[in-house]
Amino acid sequence: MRRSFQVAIFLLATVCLLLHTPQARAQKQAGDSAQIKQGSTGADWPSHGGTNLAWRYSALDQINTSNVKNLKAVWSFQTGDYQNGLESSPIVVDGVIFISSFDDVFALDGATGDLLWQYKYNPLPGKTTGRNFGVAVGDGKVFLGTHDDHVVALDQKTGKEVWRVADADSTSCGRCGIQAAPLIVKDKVIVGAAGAAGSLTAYDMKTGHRAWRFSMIPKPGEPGHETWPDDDTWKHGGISIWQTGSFDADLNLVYWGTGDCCGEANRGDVKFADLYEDSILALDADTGKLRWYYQEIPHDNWDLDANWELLLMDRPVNGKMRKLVVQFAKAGYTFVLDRVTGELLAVYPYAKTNNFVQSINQKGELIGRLDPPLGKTTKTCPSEGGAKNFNQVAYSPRTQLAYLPVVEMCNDLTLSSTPGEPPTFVFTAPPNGPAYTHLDALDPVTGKIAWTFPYKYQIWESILTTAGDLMLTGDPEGHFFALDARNGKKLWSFQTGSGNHGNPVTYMIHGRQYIAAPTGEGVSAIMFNTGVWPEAANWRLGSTLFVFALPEESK
Amino acid sequence: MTRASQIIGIVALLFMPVVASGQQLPSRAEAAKRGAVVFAASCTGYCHGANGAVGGSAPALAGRGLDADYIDNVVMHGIPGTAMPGWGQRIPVPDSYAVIAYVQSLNGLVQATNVVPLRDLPPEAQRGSALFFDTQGDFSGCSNCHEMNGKGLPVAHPIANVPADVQALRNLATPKVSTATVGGRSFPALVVTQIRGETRLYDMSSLPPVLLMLAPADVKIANGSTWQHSSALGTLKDEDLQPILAFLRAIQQH
Repeated sequence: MRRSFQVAIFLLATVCLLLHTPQARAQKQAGDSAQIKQGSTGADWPSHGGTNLAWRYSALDQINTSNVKNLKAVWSFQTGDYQNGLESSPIVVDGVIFISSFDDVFALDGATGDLLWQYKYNPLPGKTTGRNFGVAVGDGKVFLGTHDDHVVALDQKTGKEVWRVADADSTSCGRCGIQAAPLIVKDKVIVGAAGAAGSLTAYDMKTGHRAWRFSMIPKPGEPGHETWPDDDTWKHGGISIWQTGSFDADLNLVYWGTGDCCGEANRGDVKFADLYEDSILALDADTGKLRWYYQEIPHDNWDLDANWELLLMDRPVNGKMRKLVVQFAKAGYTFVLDRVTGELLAVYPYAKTNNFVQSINQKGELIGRLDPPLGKTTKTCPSEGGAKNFNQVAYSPRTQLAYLPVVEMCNDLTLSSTPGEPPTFVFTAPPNGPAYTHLDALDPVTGKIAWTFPYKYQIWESILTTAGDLMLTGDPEGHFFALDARNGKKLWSFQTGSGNHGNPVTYMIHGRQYIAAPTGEGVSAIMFNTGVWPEAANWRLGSTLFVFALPEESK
Repeated sequence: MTRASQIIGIVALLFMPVVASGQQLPSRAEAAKRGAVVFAASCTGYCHGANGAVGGSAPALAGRGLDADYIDNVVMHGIPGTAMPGWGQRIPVPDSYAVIAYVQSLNGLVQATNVVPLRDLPPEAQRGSALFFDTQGDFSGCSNCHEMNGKGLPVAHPIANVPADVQALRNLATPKVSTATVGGRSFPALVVTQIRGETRLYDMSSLPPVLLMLAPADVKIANGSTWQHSSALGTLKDEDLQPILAFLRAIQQH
């Protein structure tokens, strides 16, 4: 054979081989490689959900299925705040970790764990600090939303305050505060507030000037206000933002999930949809104008906020490539929408224990609602803790699977017959057996399960997945562990000494890959679990960041 | 946890239930009252002037626009290189936080007076109270910049004189607003502090005002500005401002 022909055959064979690797298949099916690049983190972990597509997926593969057994703890950092565990997501930029606990921010050397600076927010007189899910980093600044509803910009190098602005007057406004990590969108930082001031607000990163604000409850005269009763419920409702949204740069749209309204108080007729409760919003990134919304649960009587993370991905639906936004909602259903138009493309239950509705049909209609009669205790499922809580799923473009922690639990719900009075929730086992949990690897569009990892207690740690085909998370018994993302086989585990309750991330410094796991059980996780697992009362609090890497010689 | 933050924690715990239930705030006011006694005994004479006014060898403390963090830090840890010692380790915790509350009250950060319950106000003042405080975070109320009756954000100095009528409120002179120039941009600014190598000022060019922390060399401040209080009144109409003034008067009379 002539040499050039040999080369041609070799090249052809290589191309064929490449096309059959899982990665090539993934790229073919999961949209273009540009999107995979957009959705993957590299040396940094720049955003709460990894990137603004919220996949919690890293392209790093130095630590992988064949060597993860050698993973060792290389350093740890203790925040000293134990009350609610370490719930936040580290942000990693240029080898520095920025992590918040309550309203404190720490900057750590990512390789050694040495403290570079520490910032302590002093709340307004009479106000306390509270839960915080993390900071955002951009424009040389670190942004913190505070429990007393302020936004603070710190110098990324020194931790010194650069500017500070009130998002609302939390001394006058009911339960107003920020716990969600901010989202950086172009030249702005967007924060979501909880309480009566429930809103999304964009601030200019340089000046702190307010650029736009979208309030969750439309005022009289605004579209959507007609979905409220003709009284002043809307004034006191408060639709909270508890978690962080996503951003599609091509469409220039910001996506955010919203909470339920009114503190789940008995608030009148079920015919009122109470916009924009339990909705997915698409807002213009420059103006904050609503492009479309999709309400998952009108008039939510069960505390099933639609607040959780929104994964942006391009995938075929019924043979046609679509731009999707996917939410594994607290209600135990997955909503798959066209993120250009807000059209519902698919909805399926991912939890087995579900009775708040008999079903949700493909038009998104709630069929057979179990609205508890006032004053009468009713067992509803999932519980107000959700079939999934705030800990985030992960999505790997290599396996085409989402990794989803599921809780099968109910509650005895009593809506007060006094208008405005809050209901009571008592956590209980499902009707036909004890409460249990499982971690599923599933096709995000169809819900088809590839493998499942059964467990006893609630997994309350976010999931991390990597190009090393690893899936990492932690459990309340203290184990931080790695599964093979392809088949769910357990490959490695480390006892952290307290439950896991945060958002693990991965990053690389000088050619060495690290995995950082915020650990430490918090009071709320324990509170949500003692009803069905009394031994949860003995879970120990903690707040430690553990960082793992391969030994230098074996990486 | 630092000693200061422990104290903040204690203070916060003390105040939290009181604030939450919307009742009076005796502990806050009482802390400031008790602080006045401790301050008179330990801080005045050789160093600070009586009641935080000018006098003695140390700086005046009243009406200086000192912010809460600064007061807390200086009382607890002192100012290195000066005669101001840190009191955190020297006096009992209740005394140091009382002094913090007192000095904060001298700077409008803590209302040294008791809070007037809403029900004790005439109906028009009650309506004014509802308009004054921004209960929904849509930046409609005065409380985004003014503290009154134990609530609100202390951006502006405490309201000392209640304007005579709506017209006077609209035309209110704001001599404390200056013009700051930072990086070539000039804007109306309310200077908070110019101490410890840092200038803190509110950028008033848009609402809500943004507190900026600047190196003194990076900012030039000139007296006077084009800023007008009427620009902050937003959509409030005369019939809203009337009850707001009634509320301010009623609180002043208590």
